[in-house]
Amino acid sequence: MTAMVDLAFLLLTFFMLATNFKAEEAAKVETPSSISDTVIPERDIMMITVNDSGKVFIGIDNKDSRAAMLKKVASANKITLTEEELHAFTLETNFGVPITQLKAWLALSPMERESFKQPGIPCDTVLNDLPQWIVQGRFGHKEVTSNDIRVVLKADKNTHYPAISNIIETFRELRVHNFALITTLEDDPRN
Amino acid sequence: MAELDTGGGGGKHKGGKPRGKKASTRIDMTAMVDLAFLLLTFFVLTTTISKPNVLPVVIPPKVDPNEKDQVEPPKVAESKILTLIIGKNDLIYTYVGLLDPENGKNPEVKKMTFAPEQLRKWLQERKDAVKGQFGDAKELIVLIKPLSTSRYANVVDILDEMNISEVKKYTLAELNDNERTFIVKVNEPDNAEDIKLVGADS
Repeated sequence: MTAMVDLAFLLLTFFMLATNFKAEEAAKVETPSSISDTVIPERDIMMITVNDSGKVFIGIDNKDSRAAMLKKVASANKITLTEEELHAFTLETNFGVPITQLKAWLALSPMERESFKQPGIPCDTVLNDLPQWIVQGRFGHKEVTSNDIRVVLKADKNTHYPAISNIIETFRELRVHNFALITTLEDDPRN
Repeated sequence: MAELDTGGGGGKHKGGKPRGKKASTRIDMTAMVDLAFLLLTFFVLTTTISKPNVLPVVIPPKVDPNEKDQVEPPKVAESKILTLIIGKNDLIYTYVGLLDPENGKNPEVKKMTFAPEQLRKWLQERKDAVKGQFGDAKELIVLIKPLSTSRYANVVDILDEMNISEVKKYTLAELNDNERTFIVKVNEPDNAEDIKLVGADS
C-alpha cells in the first residue's frame, strides 16, 4: 500500500508543478478550427471573447495591468471607485459590463457578482465602449510591464459575422493591425 | 486494510540492556490514500496543460479619403483577382475579375460549398490559370467578402484555406455596389429573406 500512496503523491506533485489553473471564463465559447499550430504567447495578452450571441468580454492576463486599465477608464469617465471595488475588479480575469454599469456591478458582493449575468461590453453603432477599454488596456499594460500588449480574439464558431466585423473595424480604427484568432487544432490536409 | 507495521521489530533487537516489551503499532493508511487521490482529482479537473492555438491575422490600415499624400493602390490585371462572397448556410459565391454589368463585365458567378473538392479545387484552378498567364501563382489576389448572414467559422475556414492553398495575397473586404444588387438577384428562394449586407449601416 505504500507504493500506491507514493504513486498518488508523485502524480499530485506532477500536476501541481506542470499545469496552470484554467481561467474563469465569463462566457462559454467553442472556437472554430484551423490548421495553425502557433501556440498562444505566454504573457502580454489582451483577450477579447465573443460568445455566440455576440456578447463581448475583455480581459488581460496580468493583474496589475487590469488594475491600471480600470483606473484609467474610471478617471476618463469621471467614475470614482473605492479600494474594494478596485480590488474586486482585479480578481476577474474576464468581464463584460457597460461602463455605465461598472460601479454598480463592482459594488455587488462576490456571490452576487458570480451569479450576475454579464451583458457584455456594448460594441455597436449606438454605443461602443470597446475602443476605450482597448486603448486604456494598452497604455496600462505598457506602464506596468513596459511591453506591448498582444490582442487576441476568441469567438464562438457560430457568432454572426457582423459582431466580429464591428470588432475588427474597431481594431482598424485603433490601428491594431496585427492580432490573432484562437482556434482549435485540425489536421493539415497537405500532410 | 492498508497499514504499516512499525515497532514490532523492536522486540527482536538483542542487546545487553534489558528492554521493555514494545507494543507493535499498526498505522492504517487508508485516509492518507484518500486524501492524496482527492487532491489529485481536484488538480486534474481544475487545471490544464494544453495552451490554445492561434491563427495570426493582419489587416490593412484604414484608408483615409482626405489624406493627400497617400500612395495610390497599384492597378492590377483583372484576371488576377478572385472574389469569394460568403453567405448563409456555409455557401460561397465566387467570380473572377471585376463585376460591372454596366460596363460590360459579366463574369460567371459560381456557387460552391466549403468542401475541399469544391473550394480547394477552385483555388487550385485559379492559381494554375494565374501561373499560366502571369508566370507566378503567387500573383493571385483573393478578396474575401463575408455577408452579414455568414458565421465567424466560415471566415476562419477561408483564412485557413488561404494558408492551406498557399495564397499569399488576400484581404477581407466590403461588398461594392455592383455586388450588392447582384447578390440579391442570384439568391435561391430559401436564401431570399432580406439579407442585410455588411456595411449597409456604417
